[in-house]
Amino acid sequence: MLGFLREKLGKADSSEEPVEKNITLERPSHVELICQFTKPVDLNSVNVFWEKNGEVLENNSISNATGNVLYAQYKFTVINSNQMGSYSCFFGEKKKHRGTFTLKVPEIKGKNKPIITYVGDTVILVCKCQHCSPISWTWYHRNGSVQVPVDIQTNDKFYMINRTYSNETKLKIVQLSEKDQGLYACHAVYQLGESEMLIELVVLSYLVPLKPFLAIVAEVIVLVSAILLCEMYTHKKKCHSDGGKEFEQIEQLKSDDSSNGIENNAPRHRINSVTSK
Amino acid sequence: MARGAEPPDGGWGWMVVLSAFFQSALVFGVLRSFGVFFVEFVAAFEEQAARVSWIASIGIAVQQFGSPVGSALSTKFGPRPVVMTGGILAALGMLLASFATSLTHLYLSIGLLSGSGWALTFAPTLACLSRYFFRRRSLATGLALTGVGLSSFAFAPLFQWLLNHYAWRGALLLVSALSLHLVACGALLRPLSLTEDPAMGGPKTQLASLLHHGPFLRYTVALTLINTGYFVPYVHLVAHLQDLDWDPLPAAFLLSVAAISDLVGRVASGWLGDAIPGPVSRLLMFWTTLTGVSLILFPIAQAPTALVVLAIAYGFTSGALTPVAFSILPELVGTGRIYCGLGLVQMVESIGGLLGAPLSGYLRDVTGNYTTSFVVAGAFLIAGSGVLLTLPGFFSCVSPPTSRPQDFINEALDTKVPLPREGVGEN
Repeated sequence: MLGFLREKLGKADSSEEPVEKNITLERPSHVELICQFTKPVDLNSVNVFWEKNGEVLENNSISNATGNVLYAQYKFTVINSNQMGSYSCFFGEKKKHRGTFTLKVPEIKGKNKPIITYVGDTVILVCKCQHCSPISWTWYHRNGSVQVPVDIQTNDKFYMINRTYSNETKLKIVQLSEKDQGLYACHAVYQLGESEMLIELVVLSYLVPLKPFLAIVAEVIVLVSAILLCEMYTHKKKCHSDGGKEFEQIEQLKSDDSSNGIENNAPRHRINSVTSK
Repeated sequence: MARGAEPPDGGWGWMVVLSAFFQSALVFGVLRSFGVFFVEFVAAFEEQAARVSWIASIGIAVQQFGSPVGSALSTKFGPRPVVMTGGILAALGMLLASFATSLTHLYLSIGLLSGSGWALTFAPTLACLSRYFFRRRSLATGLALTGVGLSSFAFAPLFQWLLNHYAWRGALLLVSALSLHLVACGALLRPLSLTEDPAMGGPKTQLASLLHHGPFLRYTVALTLINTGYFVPYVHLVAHLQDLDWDPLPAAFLLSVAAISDLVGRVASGWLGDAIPGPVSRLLMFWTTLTGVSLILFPIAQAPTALVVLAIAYGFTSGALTPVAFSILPELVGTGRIYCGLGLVQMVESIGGLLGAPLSGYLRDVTGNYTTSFVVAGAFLIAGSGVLLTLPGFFSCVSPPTSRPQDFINEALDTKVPLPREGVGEN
């Protein structure tokens, strides 16, 4: 059973900017595209062209002009992907006034972040689309420029999980290895075409985070040893100079003939200030 | 190493400030930035967000509940070996978490093991800091606690970067290596023996004397009430903003703004606490009341500018109350009992922390938005500040007299006769 779709584009002013509309279509349907424009001053007759992808279409169109409003309607039936694409209505002699309808299958939206996993892990890749129900989903693995379908039937490694709501598909991969890396594409298949989304999968080995980990642990050990050794060293130095202080003072007194009290005291004060920390 | 000295108020004390700075960064900064991991855990283990958030709750609860243990051990062995052991435990917990295969593993490794590690580090370090400073205690505490703010700033993007490059297992491995720096922080905590130490007795005596200390108990109640309301915005602000149709990026930006003002608030309040004469409890009441008011105003604010202003106000006031909250304690119980005092306070106030966020979440589920939960959180804060009115010397116009060890011993022995106090120095 065919669906029905009616879409309208309107322009209220007589500017020459093109007006556009994106339409999502899943099932084969009868389509009516309507352009309703305010008639510009210099237009005397009604001359409407409809184009698809640059080619002029035969006249399945109705057009009339009441007052200063131009009305054009184009009817057709969409059965398969050949009828999808961009349809434009043109007014005016030099095709100055234009409206464009773009018919597409629903897109799959998703994050662009790569998924990071480790060797031996299990990962689930998810593709979701809103307000859509594709006929089926297929997964492909892209290695370089070659796109290979993912082997779900025979290979135990890959499982495709589809829930009752067909707007979501999951690909489960077990026992990851480094050659499972790369881009995975999920395709949503409709009668009117396909849409795809790319997911990047990265598989790391355990050595990758282990190296920085060991480096940091080594750095901490060095730091702790440095702090403790430094403290033991200053402690030893203080005990040493505490015992040697008296000895030095006695030496100073003995060696100086003209004992100037200040001269003798000065070294002692300096030693004091160093060790009192 | 001086024997039987007064707090140095400088010298090696600044190294202790540095250690406390990094250490509060590595404990609370990690805890606060853990939200980044939650999204990954929810996806990896296919669990609900509520169950995943228990990881952090258990960690915080163990950290606070285990604080008396850390304190008691510090009184006996000194802070250094205790904090270093805590650092090893915390890092070990994260290391084991990187091999987790279920949520229970994470509860045990991060929540229990790392939590115990953090319990052995935080309270002893701050208590040690209080012993090293007297005149500049609030400033030192404020500076040390800026570690929390700066690190939640730096760690959230860092953790996200780690997750993007190494996935959560590798990221946890590297966070474990990061947490190992707690051991280095512990190495910096040179033991200090003060005049009142021999008189204070072992941990059991101290704990017993603290439990009979009226002002200490009232202060604990006040802090518990404050703690119940304090954490609510951190947990629920983003969700509240999303309810108001904010995008994730501006919401994260708002949190960063609040974090910056939190930082400024800590240092400003620390400096203020030392500069203004009079009991510090008044300042705490001031900041707590303001925080409560800003929380209550949150649901009323709808316009983005109003929300930004409130976020700044909340950040500043809640940051301002933290150093003051810690520096009241030495005034109340003396630096001799500070380890045990801090440990006990952390343990009791953890009840508030445990209750606050789930209560607020429950109110949200029942009423459908965050209005009630913000208002209730603000009410708890104001109630806590009300209890602060009952602290001794609150209404006096003079600085509290220098706490002499003799006074505390007499309190412990329940003597009612006040001793003549020699007015030596001032704050």
